[in-house]
Amino acid sequence: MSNDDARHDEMTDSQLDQFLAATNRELLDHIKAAVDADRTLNAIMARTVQEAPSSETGTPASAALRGADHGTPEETGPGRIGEHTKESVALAQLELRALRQDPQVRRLARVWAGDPELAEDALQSADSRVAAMRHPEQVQNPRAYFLRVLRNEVRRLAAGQETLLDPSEPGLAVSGSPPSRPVGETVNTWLPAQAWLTRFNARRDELFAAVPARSDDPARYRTTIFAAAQQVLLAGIDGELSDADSPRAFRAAFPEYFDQPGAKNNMLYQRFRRAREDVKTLLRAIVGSDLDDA
Amino acid sequence: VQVRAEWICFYDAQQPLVVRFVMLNGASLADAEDAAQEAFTESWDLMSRDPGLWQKITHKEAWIRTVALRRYWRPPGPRRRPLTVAGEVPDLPASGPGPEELTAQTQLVLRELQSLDEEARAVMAFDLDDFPPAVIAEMLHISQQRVRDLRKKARAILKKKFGGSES
Repeated sequence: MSNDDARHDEMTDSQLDQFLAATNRELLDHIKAAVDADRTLNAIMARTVQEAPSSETGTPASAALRGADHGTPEETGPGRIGEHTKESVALAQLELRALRQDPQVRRLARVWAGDPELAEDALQSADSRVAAMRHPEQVQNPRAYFLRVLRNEVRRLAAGQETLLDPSEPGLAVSGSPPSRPVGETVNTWLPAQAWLTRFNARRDELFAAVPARSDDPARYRTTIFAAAQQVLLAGIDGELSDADSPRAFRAAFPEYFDQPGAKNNMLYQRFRRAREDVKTLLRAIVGSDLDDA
Repeated sequence: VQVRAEWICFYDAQQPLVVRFVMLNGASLADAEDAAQEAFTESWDLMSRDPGLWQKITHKEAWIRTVALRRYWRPPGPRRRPLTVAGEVPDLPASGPGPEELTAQTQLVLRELQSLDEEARAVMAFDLDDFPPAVIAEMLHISQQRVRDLRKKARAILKKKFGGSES
């Protein structure tokens, strides 16, 4: 007799398995709803930060920005939704972006990243992300939200370091997955590029502004990225592959940033990788709808 | 850098599972959260102090559960001290999720698991997270045969209890 043929007043093995599995799932759902894992993580990190020596002092910028009328993040939560005045949007935006300068946030970034340069890049990326938000006033807890974005950026950038080494560059070890195909190669499979180029030029200002300000010279960086994306589209019209998003092209266009003297190889390749992503993002903004239709 | 990023991924994936694991071992949600936090703090400290050692830990998912379980069994600091007020304290939160939060089935499972002895409960909690007997044995410092025996005994008890409750 198998276990499944057990006595009627006793569960079978498979019934017990199903019973326990259902319980396990429900319990997990309950925990995920009830427990704030981010808060716990921040507590662990804050403990590390408190123990670490720091030369930075002063009131957090976000606290200074938060006037008496705005209360704590918890207090301002649900009530802020619906109050979409320009002032509330601007204030929320300022509050979020000010967190980038918050000493504790900066220390957390360094703790998470374990590398000052990576931390700075993550802070920059997180700042760009919150700056692009349409409804920052709906964020109930700006600090927690910014930390969440920051943590994701640290993780994303750290993961990128594994794959950013370019096999075409001499003297560098190759690790992780192989680099992606050049953007031009991808776009070339999605003609007609002429229509895209027209669309690209028509939305020039909007797209230009959408490029993240990654370097100390944001205008130059944006120009470099914008020009590379344009070159890729032009090459597509001619049915050719473009190397406008290659490290060589980026270095030639903006050597102060992509070939900065004294910068580590990893850092330079990280910049290159992000620049290529920025080109891709611009191109996706143009060809995205066609890709969706395809 | 990569080790830290991996640790954060590990935390994100495992934190709710570790809380659940400790709850299956009889803890309230609050106690399970505390135990899990202490375990993750310990792992963070270890990873920060000696990344190589952290990376050498095999079965990290089982390891973190074991640390959390020990913290639940032997809580550090103030949590170890018993309440000084005799009798029931009316303002204390409930020891676990209330009936409005969990189904009767889940409450029944938690209650019946609590009726098992500590070792059998731990084996069942590991088993519910799909850890093989070899890993469970290593974590609890018992033989694989002992794990199988405890699992069999616990399942037999649960089958009987749940069968009765369903009929």
